[in-house]
Amino acid sequence: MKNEILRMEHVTTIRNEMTMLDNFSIHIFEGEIMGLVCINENGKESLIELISRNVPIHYGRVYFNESLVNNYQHSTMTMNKAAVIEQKSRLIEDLTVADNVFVLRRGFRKYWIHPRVLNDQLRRFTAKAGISLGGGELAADLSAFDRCAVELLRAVVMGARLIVIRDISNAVSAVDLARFHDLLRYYCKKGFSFLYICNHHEEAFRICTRISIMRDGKILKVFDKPDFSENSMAPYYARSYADVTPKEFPPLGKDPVLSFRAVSTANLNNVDFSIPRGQCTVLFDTDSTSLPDIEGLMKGDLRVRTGEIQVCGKPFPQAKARRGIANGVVFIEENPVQSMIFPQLTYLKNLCFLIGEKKDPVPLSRRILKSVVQEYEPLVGPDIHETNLSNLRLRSLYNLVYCRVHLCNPALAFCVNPFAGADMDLRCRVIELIDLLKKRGITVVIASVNIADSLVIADRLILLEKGGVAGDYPRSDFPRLRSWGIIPYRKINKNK
Amino acid sequence: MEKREKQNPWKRLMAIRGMGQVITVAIGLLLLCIVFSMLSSSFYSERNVGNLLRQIAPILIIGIGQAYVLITGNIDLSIGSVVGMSCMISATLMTNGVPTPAALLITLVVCLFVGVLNGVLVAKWKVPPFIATLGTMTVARGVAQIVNNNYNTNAIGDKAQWFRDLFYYGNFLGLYNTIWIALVLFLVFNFLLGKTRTGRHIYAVGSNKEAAKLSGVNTDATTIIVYVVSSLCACVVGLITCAIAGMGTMDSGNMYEMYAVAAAAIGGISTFGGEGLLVGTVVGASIWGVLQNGLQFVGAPVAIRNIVIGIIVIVSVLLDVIIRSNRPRKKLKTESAAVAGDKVH
Repeated sequence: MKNEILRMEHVTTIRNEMTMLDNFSIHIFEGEIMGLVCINENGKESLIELISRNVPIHYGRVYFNESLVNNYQHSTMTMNKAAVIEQKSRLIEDLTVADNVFVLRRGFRKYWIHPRVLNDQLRRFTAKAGISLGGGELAADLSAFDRCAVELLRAVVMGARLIVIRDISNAVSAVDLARFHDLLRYYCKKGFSFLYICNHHEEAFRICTRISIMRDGKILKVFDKPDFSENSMAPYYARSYADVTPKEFPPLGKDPVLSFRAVSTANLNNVDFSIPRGQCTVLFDTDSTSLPDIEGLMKGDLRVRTGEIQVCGKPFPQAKARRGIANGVVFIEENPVQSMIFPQLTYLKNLCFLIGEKKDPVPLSRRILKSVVQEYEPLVGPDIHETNLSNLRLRSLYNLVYCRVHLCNPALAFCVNPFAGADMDLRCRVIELIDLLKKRGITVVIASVNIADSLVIADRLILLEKGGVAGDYPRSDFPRLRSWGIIPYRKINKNK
Repeated sequence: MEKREKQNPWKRLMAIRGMGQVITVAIGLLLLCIVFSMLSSSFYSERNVGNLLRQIAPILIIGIGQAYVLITGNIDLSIGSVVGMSCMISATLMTNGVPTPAALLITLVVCLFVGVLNGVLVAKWKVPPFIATLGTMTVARGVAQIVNNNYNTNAIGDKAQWFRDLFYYGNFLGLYNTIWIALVLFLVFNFLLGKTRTGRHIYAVGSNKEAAKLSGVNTDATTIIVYVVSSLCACVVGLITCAIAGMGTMDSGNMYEMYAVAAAAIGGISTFGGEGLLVGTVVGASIWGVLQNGLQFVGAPVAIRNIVIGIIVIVSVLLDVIIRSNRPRKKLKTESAAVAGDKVH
């Protein structure tokens, strides 16, 4: 009989008078990859905290490695032998891989450090797992996949019994995700247990042995492998993409808004594409090499080595890119609530922020503000009068970010991983908001390493691979792509 | 991977993060020495070299202390006042008949207390390091003034001559003791930073405090340790200044916090934390010393010396900023891409 690594029985946690986990029960065996598909974000953070550390709970019991470690009567606040791997790296960038794996972990007893010994030890680990990593490499120089692999190695070295993998597809490309899955399977066979948390059941189907569905901090159902199917999952989604897929896709303009003409940089090689007005295009980077450079070029952080970028038919050199808004380009960053909102300003001032930055700034008179309220109140509701943004829900803040771009009305909106970290409900809302931009005639570019959600709204998919354009697909090809799931590139190429 | 292992020593040296900047600054130091020796024939005289090294030693010692603090992403503005406090407390005790070893021990304890206080304020009570150490800077200077009723002390006398010889006037194997003290402290703290777990923790706290905490590093203890090291270094420099003058002067150590930051920053210690080599501080302190000494030789006024050193500090920090912003964001994994490509096709 297999050992049980984690058992949570009827756990209820309440923080700030909000129920985070509600009668939550789960059990994970040794050598198992348990999937946790979260319909919404509620309870996710609390669960991870509770697995890592025995913080007080309101009701229930937690067993770790078959011993009772936490219950409603007494919480020890001790750490469990669990590790978390997520998009936000926990590596120390200025230290080497060997230091991160061996030295910076609980229980490292040696005081004198011998890099050669550590590197030899690391080599043994990496050779067995089939990873190509040097112990002396700095963590800052690693690719996204290597970072995840190093974090996994560290978890293995520190003897974590349970490793929580959280929304990792937001961090690594489709190619690297497949490689990372291979690594998980390898360590799973070695007896390590995993809790694989993700927002897409398609992703969980590929790697997990069982899947639990969680909504509002409550487990709704646990599926065994034979039950993995779209139909079995459908009843658990309050909204699905079918609800938000636009009914019609208006005809596109002919004049290109964004053109890359044989653009080359350190990682781009003769990238050539053109995006017409009003089109929503997904730039899907299979190996995470092209998008950082494209983003850098569009923001003015990078300079084109050869070729030319044009926006609205005019050259878009580095100097113009630095003043993107004045030249008709607006960025919506990943996790925009953290990066694009000014929490000290009111909702209305946040909403109007970009129109003051345009080439011909609109003076924010009382009359203009009144008109903005009249136009946007039907879209965002009474939140528009809010003076303290901390009172707003995540959904409202997303509304604010996208409506700000809508109000600014740029020629091009560049969205970086817009669905990263969003639950199903929020992803549906983001799709609606992108559709809102499209309806205004704004050209939208979605830069993504994961296309599972982007295809719902896109008119076109451009596949980037090894620094070049590997494929260009119109919307009519999407049903074929979607049926292949979130890693379409293998089959695309095979079928070509 | 094997190729990486068989790199030649020069490439291995250059692969150490921050070494490039140290070598660049070292070349700058060499050029300065050449220029000054051309401008003044006595720059390379045996006597001047000895004095120059002795002049550099205190700056190197406080530079080491400040480098430790800077690597954790903090700053210690109290370092100069602790120098003054150390000088005044030791001199006052010695002139009041306290045996020299006891005076030194008391001085050390008081200085270390300031270090612990700085560390606790910054790490435990989350006071911004600039403000916390600005406060202790004023307090320490106040202590330096009050300890002898707002007067400089009298001469510490013949009984303490061995103390003066130990810290300044004596020499061993042809080198002044001050230089030996600086050398020993450098070797000890360089070893601590480069070869021990504590050293890794110091870099980790400066690089990513949150990640370090999650990795089990006691970030509070690490922060306190670096402030204690800083105060220890300041204490030693205070004793050296006391030995030089043979008395306690209330304004000793004035502006030393600036010299300390200058030595560390010129030597490539990142003011953003997480990066820097202690050997860079040696080069930084040497540049400071050579500039002071060389400009004095060519008759440049003090104001010009200060301007030149100030410009060099700004250029060094600017260099750090430029290096950081131009660092490649991510390694292009051609190997992994190729593997993926093979799978695809």
